[in-house]
Amino acid sequence: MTWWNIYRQGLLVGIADLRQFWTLRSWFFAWLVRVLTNAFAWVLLGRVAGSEDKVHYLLVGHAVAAGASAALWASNATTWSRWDGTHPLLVIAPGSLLAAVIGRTSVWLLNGMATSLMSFIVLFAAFGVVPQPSAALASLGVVLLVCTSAFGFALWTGAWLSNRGRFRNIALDLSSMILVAICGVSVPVEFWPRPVQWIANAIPMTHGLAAIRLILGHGAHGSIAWQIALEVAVASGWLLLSLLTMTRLFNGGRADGSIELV
Amino acid sequence: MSGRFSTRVLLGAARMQARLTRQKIEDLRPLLTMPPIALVSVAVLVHAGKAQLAPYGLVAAVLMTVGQMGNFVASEIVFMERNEQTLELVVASPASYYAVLLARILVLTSLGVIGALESWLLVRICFGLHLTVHHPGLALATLAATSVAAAGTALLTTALFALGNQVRTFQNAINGPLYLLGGVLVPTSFLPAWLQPLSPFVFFYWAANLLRAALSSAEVQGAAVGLASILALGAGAALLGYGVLQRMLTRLRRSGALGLT
Amino acid sequence: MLAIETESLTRTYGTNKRDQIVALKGVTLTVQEGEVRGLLGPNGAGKTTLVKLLSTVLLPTSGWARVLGHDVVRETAAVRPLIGIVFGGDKGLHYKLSGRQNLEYWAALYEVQPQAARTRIARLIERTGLGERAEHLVETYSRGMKQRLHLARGLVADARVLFLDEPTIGMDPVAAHDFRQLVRELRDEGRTILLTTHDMAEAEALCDRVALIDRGRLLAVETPAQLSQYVAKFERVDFQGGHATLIEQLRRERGVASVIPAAQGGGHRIELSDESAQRHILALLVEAGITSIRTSRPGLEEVYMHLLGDRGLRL
Repeated sequence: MTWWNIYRQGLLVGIADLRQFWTLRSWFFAWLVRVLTNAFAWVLLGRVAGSEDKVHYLLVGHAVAAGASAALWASNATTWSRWDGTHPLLVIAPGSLLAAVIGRTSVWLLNGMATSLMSFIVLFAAFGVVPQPSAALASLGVVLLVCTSAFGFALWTGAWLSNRGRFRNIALDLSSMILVAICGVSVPVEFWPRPVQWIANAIPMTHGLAAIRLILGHGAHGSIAWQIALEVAVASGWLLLSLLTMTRLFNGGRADGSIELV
Repeated sequence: MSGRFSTRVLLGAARMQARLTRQKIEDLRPLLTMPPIALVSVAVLVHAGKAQLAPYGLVAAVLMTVGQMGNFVASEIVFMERNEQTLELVVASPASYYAVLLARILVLTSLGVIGALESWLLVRICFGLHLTVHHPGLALATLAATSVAAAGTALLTTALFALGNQVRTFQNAINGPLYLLGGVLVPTSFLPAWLQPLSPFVFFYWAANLLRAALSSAEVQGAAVGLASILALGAGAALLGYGVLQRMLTRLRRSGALGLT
Repeated sequence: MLAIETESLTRTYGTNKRDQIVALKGVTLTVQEGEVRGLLGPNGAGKTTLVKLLSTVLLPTSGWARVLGHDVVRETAAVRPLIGIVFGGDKGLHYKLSGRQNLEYWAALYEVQPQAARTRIARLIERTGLGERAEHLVETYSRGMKQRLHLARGLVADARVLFLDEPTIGMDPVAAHDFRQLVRELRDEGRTILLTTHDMAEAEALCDRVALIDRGRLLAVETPAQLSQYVAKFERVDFQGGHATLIEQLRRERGVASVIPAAQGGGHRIELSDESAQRHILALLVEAGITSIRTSRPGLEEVYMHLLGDRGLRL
């Protein structure tokens, strides 16, 4: 169980990272305030557009996107061992580097899920939307999947950013913006040109969000299952790609000297 | 606060910030990440068959770009200086640290105005919408006043953030409520009634209204009041920032925490 | 005029009396104008704290200090144009600016006239050996180059009083030698220099007087030569080789205080209690077939070790 021990130690480091950003109180009154006011503005845009359907569409989209965007912070977290100076030490240690990195970054997956859960609760209450309990529960299960998918994507981007740390915040913001723009959060995926749709279908959240909309809208079980299966495939793909990329780049750093870059 | 507030100090600090920003692409992050908001917001409106409301999306992107240059980039200055241990050296110099900050922050928020052009171009290229600036003088004056007000606000926030350890927490937290209250994306008439009286105290409120007016063919009313309000609110924040900065520096000199190590 | 004077200068950290740290306690000292004063002490002794108090970066808890007659608390605006600070290390520089750009910035903050700034910066770049590297970003500099830039930065305002906090850290011996020459030139120009250092050779070479500081207290202020006499008045004899019988014989000789193993490189050290015994001891060693013999007087390092004790790595 060495892999598990390393993961666990990494997770403890990740929790310490999280504490650098928030206490429990500031998570609620600073982080969540930011997320919710942002989401409120987008949902209200539906009223500016003069459509309650649009309001509902944006409500669901941004409640899910809040969690996915939060999980994307894992991309930044993959670069922090560079800033700590522990990256070379991790590379040359006999234990699994991947376990350490995933352990440290997975706390952001948890943050994503918690953010999405609170977004659902507050936004739905604020706009008077009351879903059926079974639909709500099922949706939250898919939210977990969406956040995992985003987490995998974040690990992959983080691997590429690990020796280009100065671009990490730009990459995080742009990733988040892309998800919100093209994954069906604000407008249907079909609104965008075909090439953009292909990209949307291959990145996190698109299928998971479609599944959640179907669940809340009492859509056909077959369609729901199909969208969930697609999201599982996307999540698996990005997780696998991130593991392969991290392995190649981190170990390759010893050959090209990037092991020492910050 | 002791320290010389001279042209030489202001120009030297401004020049230094311009040089620094040229090397640090990270400082220009809002210019890269905020204008795409225009894409998303205009897409919502176009999809709803309300393309004529596209100026709302453009205005949001423009103001958020300037706002983020002030809130994210400029507000980090004191925190970063403590971290890099250059704050001690500036404080020990004859220059007024307030003057140094003012100059550096003004450079950054002024750069935020570039977001206006970027956002306009994005909307044009992606949606084929040519958003006419019917009152360009008003638009330019509003952008200038907004960047000054953003600088004044950043002077306050950078001093406040410097005292706290969780700078990112608060830095991330304040922009959402300010944009919502200021009606940056959605006019304040859509906010709950109990929130609306607070809006005029946020300079974004006046800036958003004026920019939308500048994009409208209708005659503009209350431009002078709007511009004066933006500048007054910015000046108020700047004055408050002066007091907070003075107290902050004294506190840090007393506690020995001018540097973070 | 006194360049620096302090009276019962104290600095504590922490408001809770139980956890309070006393960084500096009751330090009273004076430094004449044009003097090079060394501040010697282990890590955490209070050297940097004293420098920060005098340079107005820190406020004292009690006591007072003046720089060129101006109180560092009540007259900070008068003090700051008169001083230059070299803190050293990896921080304190703008990494995304070139060396020259850093210096231009600081010149502006010290309100140096643009023409004068250009001339002075060019001269400092040459004097500190930065040369062409001054046009490169500081993030590309080695530790030693950053140290040179720190020094140039501290001199850009042509200050009358300079605070040099471990200025040769990270410098190779050649660069450190050049730096010492620079300090001598600065002293010849009439500047007052307060220099904190761990480097005994540097302190002995540069300082008119040395203040020993430990755990926030001033222990002694003397010339390097006078401090050496605290430890031993007489010379020592170091030798290689010799067997146990010889060592025992030496210990019993008149005028020998002790015979101890040498700290490094094997061999032994004879500490004399009577200067007149040296000749006889040397003859004994030669007679015993010892050929590797050296005599010396105690240096500042030994003063340091004797006065501050064998603390090892403990703070």
